Amino acid sequence: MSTAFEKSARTRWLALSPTYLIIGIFMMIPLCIMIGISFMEQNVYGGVHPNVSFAAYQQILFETDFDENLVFDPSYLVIIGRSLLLAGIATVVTVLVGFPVAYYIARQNERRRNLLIFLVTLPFWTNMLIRIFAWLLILGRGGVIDAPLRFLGVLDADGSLGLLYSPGAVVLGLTYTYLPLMVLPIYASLEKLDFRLVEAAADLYSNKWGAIRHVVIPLTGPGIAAGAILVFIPCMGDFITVDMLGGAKNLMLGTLVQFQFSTARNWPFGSAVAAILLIFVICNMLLYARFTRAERQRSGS
Amino acid sequence: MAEIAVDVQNIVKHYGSFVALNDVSLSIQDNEFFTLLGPSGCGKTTLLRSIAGFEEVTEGKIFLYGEEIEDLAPHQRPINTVFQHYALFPHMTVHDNIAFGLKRLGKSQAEIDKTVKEMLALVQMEDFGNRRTNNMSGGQMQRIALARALAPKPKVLLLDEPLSALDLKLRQAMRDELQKLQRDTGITFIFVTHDQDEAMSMSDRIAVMSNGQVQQVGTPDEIYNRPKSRFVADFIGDTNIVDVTIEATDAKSTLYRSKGGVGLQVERATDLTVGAEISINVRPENVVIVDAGKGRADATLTHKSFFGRTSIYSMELNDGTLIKSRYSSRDELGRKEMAIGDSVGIDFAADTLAELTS
Ligand SMILES: Nc1ncnc2c1ncn2[C@@H]1O[C@H](COP(=O)(O)OP(=O)(O)OP(=O)(O)O)[C@@H](O)[C@H]1O
Ligand SMILES: [Mg+2]
Repeated sequence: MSTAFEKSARTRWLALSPTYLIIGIFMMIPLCIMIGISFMEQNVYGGVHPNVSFAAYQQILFETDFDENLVFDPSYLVIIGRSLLLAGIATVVTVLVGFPVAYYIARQNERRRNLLIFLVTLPFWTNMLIRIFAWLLILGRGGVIDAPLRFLGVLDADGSLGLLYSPGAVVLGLTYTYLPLMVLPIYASLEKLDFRLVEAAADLYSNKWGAIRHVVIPLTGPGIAAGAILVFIPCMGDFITVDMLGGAKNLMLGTLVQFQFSTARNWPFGSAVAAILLIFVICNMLLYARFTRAERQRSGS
Repeated sequence: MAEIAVDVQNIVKHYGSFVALNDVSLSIQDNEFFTLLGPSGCGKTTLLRSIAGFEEVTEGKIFLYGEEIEDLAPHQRPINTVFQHYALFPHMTVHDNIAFGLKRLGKSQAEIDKTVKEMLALVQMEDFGNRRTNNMSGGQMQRIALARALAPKPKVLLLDEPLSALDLKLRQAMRDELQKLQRDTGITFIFVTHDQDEAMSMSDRIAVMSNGQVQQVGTPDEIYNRPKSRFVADFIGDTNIVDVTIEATDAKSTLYRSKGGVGLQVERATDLTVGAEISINVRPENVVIVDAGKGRADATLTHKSFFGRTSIYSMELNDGTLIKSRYSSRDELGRKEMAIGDSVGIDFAADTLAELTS
């Protein structure tokens, strides 16, 4: 005889099985293939030789010189560091920009809120290449920013501020691309916030900033953390924005992976870098899980 | 004359085209337990929020101990509020909730700890300082909200229906506690309620409001026994209201005549002139049933309801006007039994009658 509980557990399994199937086929298997490839030998004509090798991981830290000696080479570490730094800065900037936007939207009436949220997500409906290309035209040599400065004589007739192909351009592009992913979760947690608490804070001698700092931010922490995860992870892996606005000087992990699979034809190395990227993602998720657990314990529910 | 704590002068508040407060003026005295009483939607909360600074008034002035405050932000006003739904900060302990205002005021840590301790003792929650506010009972949250609002020692404490979320028994206990708290702290309380018992039992003075206007301000006794308008008489407790015309008046007595022709001679003077159309009000407990022919008017007993502590007798005057009389069970002892349909007389003391001019 099976109890109601066991039965419900079994039906739940059945109901969820398509989900498990899809996750298994489209996520776990490709992931395993990727990790598998990262431990194989490169085939310079594309594909791999099916021999076990750690060369790909070695390549991240060391270079083989002419005498077949391993020499420490920090150039890939620099790329990893740059990825972490630029993705981190972009995440901070999206929080700084996204929080006021979300707060403003949450304070509007319901009709306006829905409209504004729609507007925030609107860029997602436009092709990403076109949107990034627009930034090329704005930041580029003789572009929207340079042209008037040339006209005013601030710059020479063919001078340029050189905004494009800089780390700043990458951060700008990443911020622009992923801002909605920050606004939405913060908005979701602000929408649940009881704004009478803000009044209570004002009543108890907090000015606007004090109320936000001591009441709103602590209570929307989970939304901010979710937004940070949602922005940081794709920033680490991004290659279109980074490639188009950063150029060859500002390689990040995503562009590196893409380069290995296309031009360099080094599948194992590309896979190894992707695996490193995956480790960062997992670390992030673990941190987030710890944070939300602590948060839940703190609020005592 | 006591100092005036809050002086509200000709406040008007519009929400779009809707007029929530229509020319409200009130003078609330220092160390007073002042209640705003009125039916739902009459503008009590709006008035309270205007005093706290959450609503900008459309017109008028508000003074706090002589200082004009209507342009100050809420955090600049030395006024604290106990919110109807408590609005305790869920991410803080009880201690931190109570310390919140003190911290923002930049008090020293030692002083904060001392005050918080005092406040916890004041509301009898000494052991709860390190607890979180969720999962607490309504009464406990109520006390913490009170402690939090009292901790910065505000000049005026505003309370918006603070008891409405509590069950009956707790509500009654909290009434006494609030009154005691007001006396102990000496802080001016402005209390909002739509419960007339609550208002009557706690307040030094009451302002009865309806439709965004103050109808009458007075002590509970004045409001109950000397209502000035039909609205106030009707809103507070059970009552008898009869529409009358003043038929004759002299220095000692007045003759009122009802629409149906029943005359009531009452031994008191009136400021009104002969021919004025008004209503008169007598509370049921002031109506005495006497033998037919011996009272101010004759009536027929039509109904009797027994409530345990009291009984209500319903009678009809000769013109069909319904009059109710309330007897406590003690007064009933030894009185002769009456039956429906009996002819009786009604009487009342002259000074229990109130003239309602609107
Ligand atoms: N922000 C607002 N916008 C428009 N109308 C409002 C607003 N706030 C209040 N009102 C209206 O003003 C009137 C007075 O409201 P208020 O909240 O002051 O009533 P109240 O006396 O406190 O009633 P209750 O006993 O139900 O709390 C109501 O008719 C209400 O609908
Ligand atoms: Mg209200």
